[in-house]
Amino acid sequence: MDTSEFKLLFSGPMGAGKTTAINAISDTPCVSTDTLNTNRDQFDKAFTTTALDYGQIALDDNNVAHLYGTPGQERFQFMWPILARDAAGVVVLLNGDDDRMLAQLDLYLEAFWQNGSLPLVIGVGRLPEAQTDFLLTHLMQHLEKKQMAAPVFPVDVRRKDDVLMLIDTLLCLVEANELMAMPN
Amino acid sequence: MEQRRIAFVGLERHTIRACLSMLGIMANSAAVKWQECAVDDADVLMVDRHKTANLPNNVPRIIVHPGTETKPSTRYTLSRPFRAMQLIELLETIHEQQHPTPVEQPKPDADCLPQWQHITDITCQQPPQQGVVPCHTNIGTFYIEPCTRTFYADNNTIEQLETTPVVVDAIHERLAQAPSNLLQKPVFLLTWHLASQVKGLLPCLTDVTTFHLKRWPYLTALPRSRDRLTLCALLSKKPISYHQLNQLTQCDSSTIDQFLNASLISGLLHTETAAQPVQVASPHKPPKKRFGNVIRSLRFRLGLSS
Repeated sequence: MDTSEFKLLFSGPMGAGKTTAINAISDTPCVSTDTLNTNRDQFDKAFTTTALDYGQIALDDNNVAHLYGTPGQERFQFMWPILARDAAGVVVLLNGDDDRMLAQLDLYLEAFWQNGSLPLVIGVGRLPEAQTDFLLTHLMQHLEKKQMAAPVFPVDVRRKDDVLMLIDTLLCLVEANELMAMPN
Repeated sequence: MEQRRIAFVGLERHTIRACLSMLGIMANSAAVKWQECAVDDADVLMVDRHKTANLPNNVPRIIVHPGTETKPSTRYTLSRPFRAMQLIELLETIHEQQHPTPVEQPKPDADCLPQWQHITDITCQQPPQQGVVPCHTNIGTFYIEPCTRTFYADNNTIEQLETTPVVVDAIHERLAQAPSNLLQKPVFLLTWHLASQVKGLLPCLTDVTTFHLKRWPYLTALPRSRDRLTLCALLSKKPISYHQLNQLTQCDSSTIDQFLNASLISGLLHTETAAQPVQVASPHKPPKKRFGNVIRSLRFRLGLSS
């Protein structure tokens, strides 16, 4: 196969932890295009990704898994389909402490769901401890109403094990697509 | 003499009369008396192959089809014309599978089945009930909230789920809300442990043609398992038959059964009994895998190899 095509995409709003997640599993430090954050209303952090993040994992036979992170600001939405082209799957990361979480989820589903043909897994971080189960239940109900059966996990992307859980699930979905001969 | 009830759906009156007559004759030599009843009261349904919609999922059904047509992909079928003995043998098979002998089946299973059905009814009701339904068990009370597919229980009770087989004692009238200071957990956590006590599929799943997950269960409540992830991934893609699940996952049957049972009781499973199974590549001719060995290699690099 053409290994340049094995690409996993990390997407989600600003501050959801895309760069951190890529760094957790990439062989090399993430190549980022961070600049000063001029939109502190959306998320209060000093630097943010404006073009893309890139990491990679070397595999057998000189193969490489490419890890791309999309910029978080919605004004860079035009880049999402470009980055998603030929992706094997997408990890959508959300901020659980953001009131707009469901609206943001809808935005990313609209961009990447593709009638369920593109494997997609959702990780929700920054969940208020007392509300974790309530918020995730609410999110899963939202998905069910939209008839989108996507996996949802609470994550702390600073913990490698949480990121691996997302990747393991995504790989199961990629395999399921191949087993059921569903084009992705 | 044991009384059993049968309902006929979509069959012509003369066919029904013939069946009842066969059953009446056989009653003289068997210890069972069959009686015609309404669908909702039946132990078994006999159904014309084109009339399978909107029937209760929890009652085993025999699909009757003309001998000139292809046999439907359901567990219990009769091809017309059929003989009395074929009907009797099929009814006995269904009865055996629904009421296995105590030697073959662990006690909790037989005891729990009606309660399982009750929990399934609670979680599957549309639109979902508001409030919580108290479910008393040998390890404590679970307050099931159908509209969120969660339950409330104290920490001690939840911890005991891991170690003690749960037997449901009674299910009580709905309450407006659960008592305070309880933890809220996904109902799949409860049903997964309940399902571990059942051997095989629940009776209402035995003649299902295809299974499909309406939504992923909340897996974080359980230890990470590649088998569960694979089952979820396949079942969330599109409707798939039991046979195909068995072929594609290489999971053992008990894992598949437990997963399907737990998903059904949690209200997460959509089932079809009449649809044709999806077409997937046969194991003799594996589908072309776009990503070849890359996934295996990536799992190995990340320490995810099972």
